[in-house]
Amino acid sequence: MTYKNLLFVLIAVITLFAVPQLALAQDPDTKLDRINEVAEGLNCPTCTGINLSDCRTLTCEQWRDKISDLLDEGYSDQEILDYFSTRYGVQVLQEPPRSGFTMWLWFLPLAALAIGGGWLAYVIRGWSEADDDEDEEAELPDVEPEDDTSPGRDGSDDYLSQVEKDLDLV
Amino acid sequence: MPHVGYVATTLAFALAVYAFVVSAVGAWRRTPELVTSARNAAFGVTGLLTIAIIIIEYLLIYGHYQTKYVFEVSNRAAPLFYRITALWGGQDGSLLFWSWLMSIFATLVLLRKWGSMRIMIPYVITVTQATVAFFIGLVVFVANPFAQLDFFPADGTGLNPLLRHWGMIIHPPVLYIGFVAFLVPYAFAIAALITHQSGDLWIRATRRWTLIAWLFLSLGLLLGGWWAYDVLGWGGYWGWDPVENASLIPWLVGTPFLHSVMMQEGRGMLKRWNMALIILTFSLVIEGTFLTRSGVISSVHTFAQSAVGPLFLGFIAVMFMVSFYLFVSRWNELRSENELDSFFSRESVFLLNNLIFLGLAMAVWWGTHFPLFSEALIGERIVVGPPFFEKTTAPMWLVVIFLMGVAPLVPWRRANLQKIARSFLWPIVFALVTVVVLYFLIGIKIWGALVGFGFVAFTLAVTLIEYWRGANARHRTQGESYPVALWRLFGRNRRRYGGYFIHIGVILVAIGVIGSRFYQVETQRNLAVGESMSISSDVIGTYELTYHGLRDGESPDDRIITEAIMSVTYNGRDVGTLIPNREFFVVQQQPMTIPDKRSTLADDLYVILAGWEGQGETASFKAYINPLVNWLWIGGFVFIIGTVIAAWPTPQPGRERVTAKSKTPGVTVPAK
Repeated sequence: MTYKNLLFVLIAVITLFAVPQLALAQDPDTKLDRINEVAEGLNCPTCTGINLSDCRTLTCEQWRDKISDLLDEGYSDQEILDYFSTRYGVQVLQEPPRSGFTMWLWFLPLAALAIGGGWLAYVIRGWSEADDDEDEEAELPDVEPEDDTSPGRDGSDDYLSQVEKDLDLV
Repeated sequence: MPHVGYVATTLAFALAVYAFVVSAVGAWRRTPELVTSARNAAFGVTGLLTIAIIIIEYLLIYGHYQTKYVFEVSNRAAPLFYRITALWGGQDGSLLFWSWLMSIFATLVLLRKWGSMRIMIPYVITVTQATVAFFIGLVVFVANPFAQLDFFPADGTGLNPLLRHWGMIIHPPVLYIGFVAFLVPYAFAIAALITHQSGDLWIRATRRWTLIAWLFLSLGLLLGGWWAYDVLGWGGYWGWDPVENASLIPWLVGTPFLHSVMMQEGRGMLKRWNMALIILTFSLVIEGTFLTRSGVISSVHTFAQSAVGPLFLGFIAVMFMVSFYLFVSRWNELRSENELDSFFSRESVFLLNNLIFLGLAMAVWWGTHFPLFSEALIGERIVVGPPFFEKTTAPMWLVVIFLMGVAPLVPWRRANLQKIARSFLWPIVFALVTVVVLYFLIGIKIWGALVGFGFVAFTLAVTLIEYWRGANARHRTQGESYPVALWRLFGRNRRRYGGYFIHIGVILVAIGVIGSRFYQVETQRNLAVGESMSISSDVIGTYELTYHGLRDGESPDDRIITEAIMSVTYNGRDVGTLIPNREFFVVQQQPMTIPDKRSTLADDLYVILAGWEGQGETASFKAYINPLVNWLWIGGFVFIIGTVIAAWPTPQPGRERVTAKSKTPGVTVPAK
């Protein structure tokens, strides 16, 4: 092997070892933002209703320092959240997990909406079926609410005559 | 002096109970003298409470610290402004204030409606005075602001630092007015049920009151958001905090109520539904204030734990049972006069609108109360943060915005799909063009924001076209020029065109929310003196902030203010100085992080001083860019204008001057 080739190999080997170090090292400028990003998923443990990334107490500072350490150790965002929730309980999480009892949190509004929608469709169908025999042409019904001018008729004479009626000129 | 205040309040309580009982007896026994007596008693309640309010303000302003309430919410160093507004700075005072406001509305409605509504008025007195009596009763028996300490403190503990903001003068009163004003439609609804009314008289009587209640509630919500944004220093305006939600939920039910009463007035439909809605709205107002005042759910807002909780629950239970009983027993009388003609009609759109709003109310109510349920059922108090609320409500907000644009295009009773397809065309085109422009020219790539802006554009187009169509019709038939035609539109059809104006306000608020929610950028840096940090957003640009050091601020009262000086450039151009600060309240030992902002129509640059070392050689700053956030507040002003238009009284027949000219010769225009 020539000296030039050996040099290349040496450089290659050093680079191979250096790259993982480069990947792990956090740009110090954006470190705080990274911490805040993770902290946003947590609540302040001592105050009520304040996000960990906004809280200025000593405890919160310590927690954010802990997040910093965990990030350095290579923990992922979710792993860090799990770290805190296992130690301090599920109430430190901003978004409760979708398992166990908390499933009801997510499930109930959806169920209510679905039931409501179904009931609405049923009611409307029931109402409209009852009137299928009535007059087809509901041109300008007299039971119009006082302010209505039958929209949907784009500048047609029907519309204008309704407008004129509204304006008490016909 | 305090004892006079307490006596006045106790007398007010007695009069309210008297009015409640005597009005019911007077109505039942058909004895007008009794009803008149009850009315006078109601007036007396307001008079006595006014005396009580004057006295408590006197005690607050002159610092009578032996009065326990004054001791808790005020201190010598507090400026006059905060001594006055401390009336609603704590539980007892704010309950007295609430009672006073409620009694004013109860009196006002009697003054306005005494001549008409003869059948319902006695029961209106009954319902309003029963409610007023409850709140006064809380003050008299449980939350007495006139109570005295058994020593003479030299100074008070002062108002909570979080309340030291000019918003204090306006947010609670406006919000309270929004809440208590809903008592009026509720009272008329109950009175209508009691007197077996099946028509929409109760709605017509209270339409403006409902509109005004809605306006104040909306403004109260926006003002709360403004306050949080301006003083809490976390860069946002809505935290989905339980007390915030408690004021949002009645709004979510009151808004569809405001709309579906239109259907009842026009078509005699939805009678049962509207009854249920107003009962629900007002129940939620009371439940919301219970949540806020009882402390069952902890929040940044809650007052201290107090005995009012169980009493509130009792009142809600009684109120609900009575309302429910009346509602069920009058069920058959509230049959609809008309049936729905078609699936594709404005009625269906309104019904769908109702459903979505109730879905929103349900989602927010459930998320707010979930910690209580989880604690009761599994012993663990689970915290529900913003992500739940945002994820569940976002799609529903979108649908609501969309329906706001669909409803004007769909006629009552039956829509001919071909005919209305044409009217959908231009708004949809406008929406698509907007999305394309936003994507390619502005660089909006987040699909959630694109969808949101698309719907907003659609609805904006529909609303503006409605104005154009109306003006155009006047122009063609009346020969008026377009500006005059537009002006006259507002005069002729106040409800409709005022309503559309309010819709535009909603659109502006939506624009603000979409921009600030999807495109907020935040960053935090530690800076040494002379160092800079930059914050940039793809759609806004780049700000560079340079830290120049700390200095002591002017400390007017018992605060130590530390200010940080930062010079700012925007895309390289110098745009001035921002001075975020820390206010440390010595007596309460509480720091506040006060932001400084550079506000434009396009965005806010929002900076806080998060902390510092030593004398400020290094300091930590958090900066935010909040795009479009100021459109929220602009939308609020549009609400006001729109509501004033919509609620403005229409001239009575026979009194209107003939000003219109007819284009057709020979046709005389009759005086209206």
